[in-house]
Amino acid sequence: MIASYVYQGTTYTVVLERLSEGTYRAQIDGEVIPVRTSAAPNGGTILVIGEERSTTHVVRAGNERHVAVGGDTYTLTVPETRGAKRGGAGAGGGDLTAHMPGQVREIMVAEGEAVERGQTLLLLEAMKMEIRVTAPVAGTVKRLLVKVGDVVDRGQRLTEIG
Amino acid sequence: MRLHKCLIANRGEIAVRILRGCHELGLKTVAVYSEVDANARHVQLADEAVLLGAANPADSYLNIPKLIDAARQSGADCVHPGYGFLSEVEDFAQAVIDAGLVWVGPPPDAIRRMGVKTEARALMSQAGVPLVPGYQSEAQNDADFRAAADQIGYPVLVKAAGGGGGKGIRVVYDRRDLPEALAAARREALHAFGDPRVFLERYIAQGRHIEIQVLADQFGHIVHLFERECSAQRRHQKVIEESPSPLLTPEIRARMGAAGVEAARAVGYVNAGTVEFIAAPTGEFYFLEMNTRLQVEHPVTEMVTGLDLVKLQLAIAAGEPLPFTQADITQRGHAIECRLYAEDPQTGFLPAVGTLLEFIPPGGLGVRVDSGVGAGDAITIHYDPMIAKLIVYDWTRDGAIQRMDAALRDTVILGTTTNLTFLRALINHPTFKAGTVDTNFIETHLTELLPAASGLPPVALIAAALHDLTTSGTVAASTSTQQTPDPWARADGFRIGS
Repeated sequence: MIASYVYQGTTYTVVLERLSEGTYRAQIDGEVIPVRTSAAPNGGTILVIGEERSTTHVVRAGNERHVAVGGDTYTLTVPETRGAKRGGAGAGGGDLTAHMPGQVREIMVAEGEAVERGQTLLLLEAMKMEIRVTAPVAGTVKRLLVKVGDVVDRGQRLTEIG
Repeated sequence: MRLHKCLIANRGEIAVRILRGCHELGLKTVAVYSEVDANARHVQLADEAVLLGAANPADSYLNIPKLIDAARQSGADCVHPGYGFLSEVEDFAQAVIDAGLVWVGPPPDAIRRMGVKTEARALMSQAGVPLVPGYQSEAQNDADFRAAADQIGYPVLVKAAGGGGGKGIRVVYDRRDLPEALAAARREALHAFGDPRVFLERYIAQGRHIEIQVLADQFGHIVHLFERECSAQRRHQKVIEESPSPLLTPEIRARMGAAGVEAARAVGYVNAGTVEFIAAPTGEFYFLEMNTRLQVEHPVTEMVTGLDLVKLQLAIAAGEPLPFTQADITQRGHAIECRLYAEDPQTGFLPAVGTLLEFIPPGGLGVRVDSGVGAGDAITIHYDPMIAKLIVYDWTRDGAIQRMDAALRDTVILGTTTNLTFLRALINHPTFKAGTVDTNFIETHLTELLPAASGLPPVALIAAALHDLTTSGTVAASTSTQQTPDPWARADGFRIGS
């Protein structure tokens, strides 16, 4: 099997072959890595690579693979195969989207107002933390898409600056 | 008086912790919950549960009339507030008492007097408890604050009079920055406590946060259960706590314990409370504030003293005398607690919401896990993003650090970003191992505590591929390198203010 995953913007590819029960041969960047596997008592898989013995846990959620190895976790994504198009709008403009879910506590600007780069536009609050949303570019607030008290989702557009 | 049924006015891990104590004592339990917590652990584990309202705390966990109604309807005879929410709200304690119920906590008057930080300072000064040099006034005049700050000497701390917990605190290094700090602290204090008043304190450099656990019964017997050191803090929020403190000598420990008892006596304290001190590296210590409730970090005290604080709280509330004297209480071995949070250290510790796809807590000798969530549960924006408290115990501090490192490595949490790696870096840092972490350490050494992005290790890549190979044939076996990055996963175009 050849599998590719994206991790932090980089694509990693591995060729994995099953040799026998609990014995595999992995190939990463041309390097051949013998792997022995066995079940861990708490639902995980123990991987033995060279001298290194690691307990791993993997959970699949859609095209994400959540991997835990010895206290460290990695979220891998299976690349979309059909030339997916997402997020065309606003890629280079001044759209502002919520980086995390939260509640709009305060809006410091009005529609039509000129703003400078770095100026605070609004305050979001989530889990007792205050998050300041600032203008990424200088421009005019074209539209305010939220009002005080709104609960916004991650990725939701908050304002448009043009 | 015998208590029969306890309403727990809280959620999450502390509600679960209190439920355990109640069940051991044979008390029936009533959980309360908001709409999003209908399937939460504390609801499942309680004998009965009452829906309060919407997720917004004002409609549920902070709603005094609804909580009193829930207690009445369920026939509870006592109320335990846990920590946070209404635990230090005098009006709630009074409402519970007025409803003819037993309040598992201190007298409302003690909550009020310790809650107003300026009043607490005056009271402690009378009781002979050492205080950080500072300035307070009712007038709240900026010019007076400036003059006082000059006299105290910079850096100074601007603190909220209306409450603690790190809210409204500003460190000011330069007198030119004082007016802005006063304004910002007042804003934050007003938002957090409904009281914009602030006061000044001298800033103790390389300060250590050390607190004394006290217990007082209704007959005037007061004991201390030694100290906890909580100097590993980030923005005044505790990250790691331990007992004993590596700073204290037996002599200073005894003096600090006695000061804690005096502080409790001065305010007429009953039940479990914590007297917080700031200590200089030389061991001089000063009163900071008293937390008139059970603390998040109470388990480290339970581990080193062998005492169950929740059961003792219930016994005290029921009118029983303390079952021991100061001389009976010993501090043995070493305990450390780490607060495991759903947050991303790489993005300024932003809370990370999501569903816990997997949560396998560590175990073994001397490992305790206090948690209110399990696999399948969601960490939402509505409440504190703590997943669990990991507490370890061993005979020595070095042994406890080793055990914590192993426990953190054994912990599996998938589905949300956590501070696990950060906690491991912290407990393994030479300064932590040397026992000399001060309250600024995390902020000033953050880059050492955050691992540089080092790509994906082969073992993680192989683990993912092995999972896909063995669990289904539907893996996208594409070697294509073209990909469209998820626009929401990008951190650009959005900056987080300090």
